[in-house]
Amino acid sequence: MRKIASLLPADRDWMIFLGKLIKSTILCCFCLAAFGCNKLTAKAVVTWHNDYAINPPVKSQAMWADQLRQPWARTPPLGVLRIKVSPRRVGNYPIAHDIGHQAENLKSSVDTCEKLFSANEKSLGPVPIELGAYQYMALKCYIAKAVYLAKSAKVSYLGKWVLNNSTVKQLPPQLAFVVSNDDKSIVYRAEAKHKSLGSMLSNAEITSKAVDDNHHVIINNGVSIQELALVARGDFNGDGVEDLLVASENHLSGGRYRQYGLYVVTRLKKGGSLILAKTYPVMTSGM
Amino acid sequence: MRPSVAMIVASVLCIYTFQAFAYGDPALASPYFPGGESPKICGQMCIRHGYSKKQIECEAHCAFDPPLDSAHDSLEKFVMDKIKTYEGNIPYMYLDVNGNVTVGVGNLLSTVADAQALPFYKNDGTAATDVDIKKAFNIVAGSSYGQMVVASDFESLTTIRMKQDDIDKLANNRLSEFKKELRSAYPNFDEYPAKVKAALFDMIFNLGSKKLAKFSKMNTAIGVQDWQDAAEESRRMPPVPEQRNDYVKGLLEAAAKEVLDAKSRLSRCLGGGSSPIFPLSDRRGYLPQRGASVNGNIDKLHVYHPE
Repeated sequence: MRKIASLLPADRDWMIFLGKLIKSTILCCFCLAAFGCNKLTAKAVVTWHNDYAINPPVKSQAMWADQLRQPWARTPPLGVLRIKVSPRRVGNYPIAHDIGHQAENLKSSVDTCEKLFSANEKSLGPVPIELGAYQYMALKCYIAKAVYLAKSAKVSYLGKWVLNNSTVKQLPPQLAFVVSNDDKSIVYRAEAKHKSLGSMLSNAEITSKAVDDNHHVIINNGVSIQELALVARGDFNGDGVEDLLVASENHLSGGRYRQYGLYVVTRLKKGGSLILAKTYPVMTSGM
Repeated sequence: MRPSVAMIVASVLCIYTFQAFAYGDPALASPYFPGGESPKICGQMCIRHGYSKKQIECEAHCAFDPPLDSAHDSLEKFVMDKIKTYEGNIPYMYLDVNGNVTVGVGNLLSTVADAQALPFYKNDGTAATDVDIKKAFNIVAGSSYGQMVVASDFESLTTIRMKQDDIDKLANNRLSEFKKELRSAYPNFDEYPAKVKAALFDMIFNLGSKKLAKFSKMNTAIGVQDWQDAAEESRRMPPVPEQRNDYVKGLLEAAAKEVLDAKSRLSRCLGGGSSPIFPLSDRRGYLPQRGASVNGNIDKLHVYHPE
């Protein structure tokens, strides 16, 4: 008590002391607001891998905004990637050769994420042969947008979760590679029984993409090949709880089919199961 | 087995009847046999089964497989046009969405040797040498753009090209390979209507035979030739465009409808009345096995589907 009392000013200096205290508080608040120091109070800041950045490396969260605006530049000799888009449905031709009509009605091209989002809103899509590249860029764009808009989480139940050969089995079943109605039924059944993705991978070979890689696995069951990547961590759905942003790239052995997905996965209590919190409409882009 | 005299007589009569039917008797002329196939088809039917004239006439009115459309005179050409639309028709080597060196109608080139086995030509029209082809292959395979490329990006990177005739030959060879796989997966493939075959070609090209085999519900429906159910189960999840799903579904639904119509015609013909023997609510897309009789016990009749 004596020590504390000794720190306090003498009676005559009280007014000066209070003035300094108020000034310091205002200065501190200004500092916190201006430099983003409010994140210091959060449990988990937003972190990411650069694998899916359009123009890597992305060193700050604010730089993801640039990714949304910048043209899809490539190293020479290729220039900017431009994908032609046209109205997605020219008409309803159940059997007729309608697809070719799209090429005749090409309206514009897409070369930035902002234009891609705008094209999606206007129901514009690419011609079939350029659909793959369009979908891939859609995945990158949704990742850029998600990471840019992510908040630091106030609480996390994920601990030091990494994506590897064994933890991939903990992911929710909705992340499975679904091509047919049969696949869909399998996922529904797993979901209903509160099973994880692991329950659907019994015959699959699971490997890491690289040695010491803790964010990228490949699941191969001889028919389908699924690549899952832990792209970022943060609060992606605004509930204050830390989430995982997981991207998937899926293709088939002997086929031309290729599918992309982007998911927010989270855990809402300590020791709880990983659950799907959000799905981005990557695959519907260009439909 | 030695044919009996009765069978030979029945066959001769049968063929004679059908020559008359197909060429001579306008009252019996069917709009459902384009070209001159009907005598051959019906003749074969007669020889095999020695049907009565009435039965053969009725079958001739119901058992047909109409052309896919007016623009294509063969299944292969129809399928090829559709696949070119969806998978491209590119005369130069490019990287596909899976990062594989590809040429023509989605023809994968796994190695330099695969590319060297194909006829490429230089700008001046002379044949490209193995060295030219290897150089072009390595430029495409070595490009480090990942999936941020479209086929047209590679047009300026290489100078050798394939001719359209050679691309078509290559694509037809691939179709033949797919046909073998489809025959292996579906033992009755050759008997399916052309529309069903076209739908399956599209699916196997897109999915590969291994994944197509995993479309269990659709395959069950195809096994019992229930084209309508097969249509419902044929949907592939995005990013397959809805237009492409609609195309395949439309083909299968059309096949189901044509069989229903054929059943209806057969019923009217054999029953002699206007009301069909088969209930229209029976949406299974197959005709029962051969063995139809005039009294309506029609449970065994096949549809003949010419290629």
